[in-house]
Amino acid sequence: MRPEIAQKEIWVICETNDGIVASASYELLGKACELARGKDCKVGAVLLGYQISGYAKDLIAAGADVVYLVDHSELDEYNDYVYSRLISDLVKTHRPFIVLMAATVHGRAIAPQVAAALKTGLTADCTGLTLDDNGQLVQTRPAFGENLMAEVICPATLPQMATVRPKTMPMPSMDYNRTGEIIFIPYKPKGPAPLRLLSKKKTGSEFSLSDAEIIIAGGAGIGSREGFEKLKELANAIGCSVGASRGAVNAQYADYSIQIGQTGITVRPKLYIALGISGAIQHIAGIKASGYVIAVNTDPNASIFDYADYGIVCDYREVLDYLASELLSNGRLETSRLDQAFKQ
Amino acid sequence: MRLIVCIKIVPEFQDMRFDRETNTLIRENVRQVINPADNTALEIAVNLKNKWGGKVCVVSMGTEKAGSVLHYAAACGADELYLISDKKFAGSDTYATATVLAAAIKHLGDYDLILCGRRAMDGETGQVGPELSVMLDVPCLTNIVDIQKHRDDTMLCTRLVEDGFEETELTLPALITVCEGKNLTCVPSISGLRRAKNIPLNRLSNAELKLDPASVGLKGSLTRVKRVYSYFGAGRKCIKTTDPVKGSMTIAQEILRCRQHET
Repeated sequence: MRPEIAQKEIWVICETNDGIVASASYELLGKACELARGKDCKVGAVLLGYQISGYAKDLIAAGADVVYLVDHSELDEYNDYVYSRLISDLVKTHRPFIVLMAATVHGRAIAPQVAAALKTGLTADCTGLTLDDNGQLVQTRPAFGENLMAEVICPATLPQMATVRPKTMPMPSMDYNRTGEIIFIPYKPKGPAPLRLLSKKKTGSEFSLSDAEIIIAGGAGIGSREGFEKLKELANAIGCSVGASRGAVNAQYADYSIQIGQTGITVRPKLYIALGISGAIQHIAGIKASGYVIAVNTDPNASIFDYADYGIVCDYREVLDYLASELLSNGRLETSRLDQAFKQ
Repeated sequence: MRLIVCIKIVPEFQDMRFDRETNTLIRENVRQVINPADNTALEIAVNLKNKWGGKVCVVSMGTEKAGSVLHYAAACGADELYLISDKKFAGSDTYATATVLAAAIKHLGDYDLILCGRRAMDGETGQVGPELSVMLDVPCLTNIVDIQKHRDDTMLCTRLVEDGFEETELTLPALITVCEGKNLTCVPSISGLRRAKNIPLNRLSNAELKLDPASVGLKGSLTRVKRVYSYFGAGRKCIKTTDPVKGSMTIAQEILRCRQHET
């Protein structure tokens, strides 16, 4: 380790969602712990919010040696402006040599504001991190619609900062026998912030698409808004998330908020079912990290089949109808029928 | 309203082909276009101008090649065009790019709102906007899908987050980054093209911005790319069927398999 780095900390800036620490933050603590192993450094977890001190034991169990808590009623709502300035101050005071944040919408907004305030380098949306013997963090990230990978370093300034794509690091096992230090940081509000959250509207699907395990997505081939509603009905009944290709959004069958692809959301479900999606390269970029991909398309030469594990050349309606009639009774999933289908 | 739109000229993704034999990106015959999210930022800015009056000023950092594409921005409603170009700026990372843009925007004077795309199609970092906001000491909101005037000096912004939308009040002057909207490319009208002919392309270099050469370009970049390699992931071998019943059964099986792993 370089002398200026020894004894320093790797920080994870934790994120909360509705007052609960996000799973992505635990993933980062697990990774930070792995990076620190055998090196002369500790893992620090930073948590901002209101009535959050109860999470300290969980953060320690996940791998934190030190937990920095800033607990104040005015930190109850996520506020990019307030949070980024507060985190910048904390980093300036405690001087960690690495700062990691989840590459969520908030994380990707706050991290660059912190990096700019600290005049240090930041790598976006990393999928791999290693720490060499000199304490240099090697950050791997995809670019160009996941077709290129780049290894990036921050050689001259500290801290070395990265946002890390959720779900690319494994969840650590929780060890409640671990011990750690908890430091309460006092917070003094600095008057009204120039941005203020007024309200939050959650979209229908219970799980956000980027976290979904199973996604059924429709493309321009769905042909109508009614067709898309049918797809949604089935997906809701079996508890899958719904996505759309740009084609379906352009045709106004679906909302932009569920658009998957390079100009929408990047997903990585275990199972991706593409109905009536031709497979434009921009769409593929958004689904590349999926586990098993099933494509349904009437065109046997549709490029979606090049990126699928299983392909069904037919009208998607036949598939939807079959699944609805076989799996559902009164609009609800009959697991026994699914079992039957499985055994056959 | 004085509106500034930051535009990056990027290779047209649709023109890109991937050579699966050699695992490389084919870069020949690729057009240069306005980055899709930046194009939406421009659209939003022009709409605000049409409603509330004012000026839309486009700034773009890039080479002379970018200059010719910028005329499309004028044809789509921009009133002033600035190409920020200097050999000293080449190789800038997001921090060094934001440094140059901040200097250029300060050089241009007062503004109410700066609009950027939420990310560029080539680099996909989404960092320049938020970094720029700190350098200019204005608040920043990312991932905006709609922005309306609220009170005199505030805007009402709709922000797309993972599980829905946030309505946020934003005090001007400020910076927003916007999501890609319906129109990914600017399609100018005939009158727009005629209008663009009268809008000059202004050039700014370090002679005007007077930045320390060590703070910009490759020298001023705080990150270094060690290595770049092509990545296509594991190739998929598609098993195809034309039997909808057999295919649907497979779908049911895979759904069940996922469910079993969950529990």
